[in-house]
Amino acid sequence: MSKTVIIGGGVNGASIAYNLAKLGESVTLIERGYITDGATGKCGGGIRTQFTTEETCRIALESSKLFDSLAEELACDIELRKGGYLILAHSDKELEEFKENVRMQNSIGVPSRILTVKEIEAFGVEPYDAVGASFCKMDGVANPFKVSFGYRDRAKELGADIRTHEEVRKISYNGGFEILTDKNNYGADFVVNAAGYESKKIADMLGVSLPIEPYKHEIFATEAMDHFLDPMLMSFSKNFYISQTVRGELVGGYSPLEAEPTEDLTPTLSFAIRAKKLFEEHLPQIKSLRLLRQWAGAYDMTPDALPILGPAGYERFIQANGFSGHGFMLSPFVGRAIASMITGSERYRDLVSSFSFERFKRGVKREKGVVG
Amino acid sequence: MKIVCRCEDVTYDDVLDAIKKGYTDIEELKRYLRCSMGTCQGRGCNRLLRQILLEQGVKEVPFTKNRPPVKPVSFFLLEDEVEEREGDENE
Repeated sequence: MSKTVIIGGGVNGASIAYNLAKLGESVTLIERGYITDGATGKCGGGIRTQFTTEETCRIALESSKLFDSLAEELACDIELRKGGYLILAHSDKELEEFKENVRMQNSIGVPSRILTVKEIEAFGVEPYDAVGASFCKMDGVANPFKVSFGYRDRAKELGADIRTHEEVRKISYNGGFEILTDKNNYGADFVVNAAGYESKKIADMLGVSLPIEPYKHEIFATEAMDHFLDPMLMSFSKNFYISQTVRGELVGGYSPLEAEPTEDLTPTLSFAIRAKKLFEEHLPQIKSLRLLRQWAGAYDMTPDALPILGPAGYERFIQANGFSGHGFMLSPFVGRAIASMITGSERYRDLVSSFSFERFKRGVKREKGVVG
Repeated sequence: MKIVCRCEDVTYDDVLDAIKKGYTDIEELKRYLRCSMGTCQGRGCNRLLRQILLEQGVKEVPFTKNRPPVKPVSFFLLEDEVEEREGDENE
């Protein structure tokens, strides 16, 4: 029996397992498929600190700093490249909002700034209809597979019990938790729910209702080309992002602004065509590139597009879900914060307090910086 | 040295090491080693990867899921192709 059972082997489950094992805690991770099988393995690998709500900026800043030393900590190349995020403003009104965001971001230590059209051009990006941009050099990209497997390998070496291809069927509570899977039975003091959009189904097993819905997001990778694009290029109003990986591939996503929740993750031809039309306005090079593969993943959206971190329903039923498209970038912080919560440390209490499950009872303000 | 994946420089020994670490699901192995994620998208190495897993005693190894467009397609051509097809439908 482990003290903690984590449900979900995405980057956050793996990060929590590693951080608990590092603290000498006994931990079992249960994943239905393989590590990175869910949203982690479908994501764009972006790391961003430029958010519109202060509490998100604070944890994103912590997380971004942790990424800087993560390759050393996990003893593996995570293909981290910090070329910044360049967020295009397509109207004067949007640029005014960005200026306000930058003031707030600067006040808490995020070194973002406003760019002119000329400065956008200097990044090798065609401004097209952009009237300015917001930029932060602390932002960048890394490889979600390398990070997740790095966490998994080190967690295993430190004694974590990693169980893949095993599905949780039932959870009950009677002073402690009992977790029944298709293969085994586990007892635990703590259960961590890190199952992406399916966290809702896991919580339902304990009669806890999480406000999480799956939204489909499509994404593609091109063949590799010589390095030409430093920043992750992004647009809130056109709902796209694109970056060049360390390996030279362009990885980009775009989603229609009006979408309904769905579990259907079939890639579509119309996505590839629309994405190309959007991207060639800013990066004309893309026309001559070959599309290597395209796929889709699900954002686990909450009503305010912010994660749920901490207990729900039961004191020791800990949520690490509802990331709304930002799970990968927050994972180094989330691993530490949840491990610290389970070991009774106060260290991250203030930082995570804004992300409690209880906030939905009080009413919430939506994070507007969501893309893809 | 035996090469399994030419696009991503993955050797036979790399695959054996990964299997020893517990990566025995072909989809997971692909993502761990990047074998089948290069320009050929697995057309060169997927069979070899599968064969090694079977040799190592893993039962029931499927091929990895194909991602469209299966074979790399120029963005430029992709658009032309579709417009032409839509034109055909109108006629």
